[in-house]
Amino acid sequence: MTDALLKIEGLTRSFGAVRALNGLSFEVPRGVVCGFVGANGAGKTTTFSIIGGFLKPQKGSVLLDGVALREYLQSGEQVGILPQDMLFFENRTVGSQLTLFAKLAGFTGSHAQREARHVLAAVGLEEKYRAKPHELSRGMRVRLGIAQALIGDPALVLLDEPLAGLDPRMKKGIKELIVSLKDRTTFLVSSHELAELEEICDYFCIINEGALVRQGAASEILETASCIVYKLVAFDGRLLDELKRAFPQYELYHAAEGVLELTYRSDSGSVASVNEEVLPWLLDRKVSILEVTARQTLEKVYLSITD
Amino acid sequence: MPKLAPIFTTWLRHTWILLLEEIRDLLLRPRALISIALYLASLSLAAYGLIHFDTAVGDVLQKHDNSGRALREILQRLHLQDYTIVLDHIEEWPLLFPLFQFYMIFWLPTFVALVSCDMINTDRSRGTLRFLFLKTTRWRYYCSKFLAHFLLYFVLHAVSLALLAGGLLMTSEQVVSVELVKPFLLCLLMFVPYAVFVVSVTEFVSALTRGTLSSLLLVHLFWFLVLLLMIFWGDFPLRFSHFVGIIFPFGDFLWVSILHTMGWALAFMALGYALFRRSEI
Repeated sequence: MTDALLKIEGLTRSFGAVRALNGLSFEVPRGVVCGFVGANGAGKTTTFSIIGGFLKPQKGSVLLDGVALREYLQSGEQVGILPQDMLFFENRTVGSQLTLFAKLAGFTGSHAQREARHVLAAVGLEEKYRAKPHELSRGMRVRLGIAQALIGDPALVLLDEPLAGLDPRMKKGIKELIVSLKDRTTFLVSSHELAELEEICDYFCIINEGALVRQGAASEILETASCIVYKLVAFDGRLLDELKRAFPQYELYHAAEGVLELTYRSDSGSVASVNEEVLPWLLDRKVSILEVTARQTLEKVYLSITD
Repeated sequence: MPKLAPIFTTWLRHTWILLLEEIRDLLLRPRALISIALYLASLSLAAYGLIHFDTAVGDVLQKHDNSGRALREILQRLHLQDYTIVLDHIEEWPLLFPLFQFYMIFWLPTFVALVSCDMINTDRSRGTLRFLFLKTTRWRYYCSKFLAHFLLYFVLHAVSLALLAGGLLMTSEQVVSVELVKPFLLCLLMFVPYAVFVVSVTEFVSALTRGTLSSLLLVHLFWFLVLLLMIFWGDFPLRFSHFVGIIFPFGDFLWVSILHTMGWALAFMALGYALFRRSEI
């Protein structure tokens, strides 16, 4: 990959007997929103902690802009981080805590205040400078968290579950904000909300049990697994079991009454080839087919490659 | 090998920023303000009593030439002849200063406990440290807390000593200001290791505990044990010579006390930071 902003090689980290990272390697290109996908315990938080400089790996290296992380941070550069649990200083105004963070990031006096206003404007909260955090909605607090991560114009911003606990309208606002800030910085976003990630990410790194499973541009990744949804009449659990035995190469899921989801690897077939096998089988068993829809989702990709 | 200069300047800058924030927060915290007001009120009362006591005892010592000899005899009977050196200096010094230091020794731990017992655990229980440590380190935070609280007590003590000296000058015609400079500076010097010790113990306890109340109880329990040791370790409190210099900061006592107290202070500081470094935030 050319122009990788973040390059991680062979990261290993254990906590006692638990191996959180097992030789994890991946790269993130500059100027993308990169989805960092993995199950609970896959090593996402450990990776974020290492990139943030809070945790040392037992093996491996982290390069930012081609420079070792430690030297990168010592040279005064920053990595912006939005932690999952954003507990602000409740007794301080939004402006005063961002000013404090700006001072710690190296801004002095009035420059720190200016930077605080600048990042607040970037996330659309400029009028909340004098508000206390408890006066903000959940969505605004996420925006405030992103604002603090943007202090000092870091080249890389890590967002840990930025969409968790938000209602659909707030999610939409945060997604739009992340996409709008893409010109300014590179985002590495961890989330379990795969459908939401699919909308905003143009690159993905999928990890499992502390190691990389797949990485690539969104278009490449989403092509690797596809899903066909069949709306059927007279299809039940007994037939599902039979179908699974007949076609073990596919992942089959009885999503709802009369709805069957079939996932297949794109490199081993196509919608047409799958239908050529499955539809006659269903028709032979007197199952009526009302609708056949083909789609590709990150969730399917994720499930098919991490199983 | 990391470059030390940028590491040090960042440490200095961050510690200074956090120190100013802590002092600002301290001065806005009602409990701290009430405690400082009570401390100053009790000091004023003590100073009022001490100033009159000093004048009276000074007169007696001047009138009765043999009173010093009598005290020496008492110390010898108690097998404390090593400490007769104290008497030589007391005759030269206004009694106000050692007595005030004696008073401060017992008052300071309680006062520091009231103001500073939750210096770390409050931030930790709120969860805000996780956010703060995105921008700075635990070590800088720990240092800034220590320095902010130490500075507060140092300034308060310096102001108290200056007020006492001023009160003495106003009430006694026999005392001249030049005589007070040395005792003032030595008492202030000896306050440094003692305050470092008290604040580091309080910070250690704050790093150890989760709540304000448990922290307060633990600090008081600790000082109770120290007092027990001072009383029962040896024949007499003054036998606990390492602490004697805090009250009588002259002669051999001075450096022994400074080294001894600083040694304990650094031990508690290192232990407190080790605990804090490993603790959940």
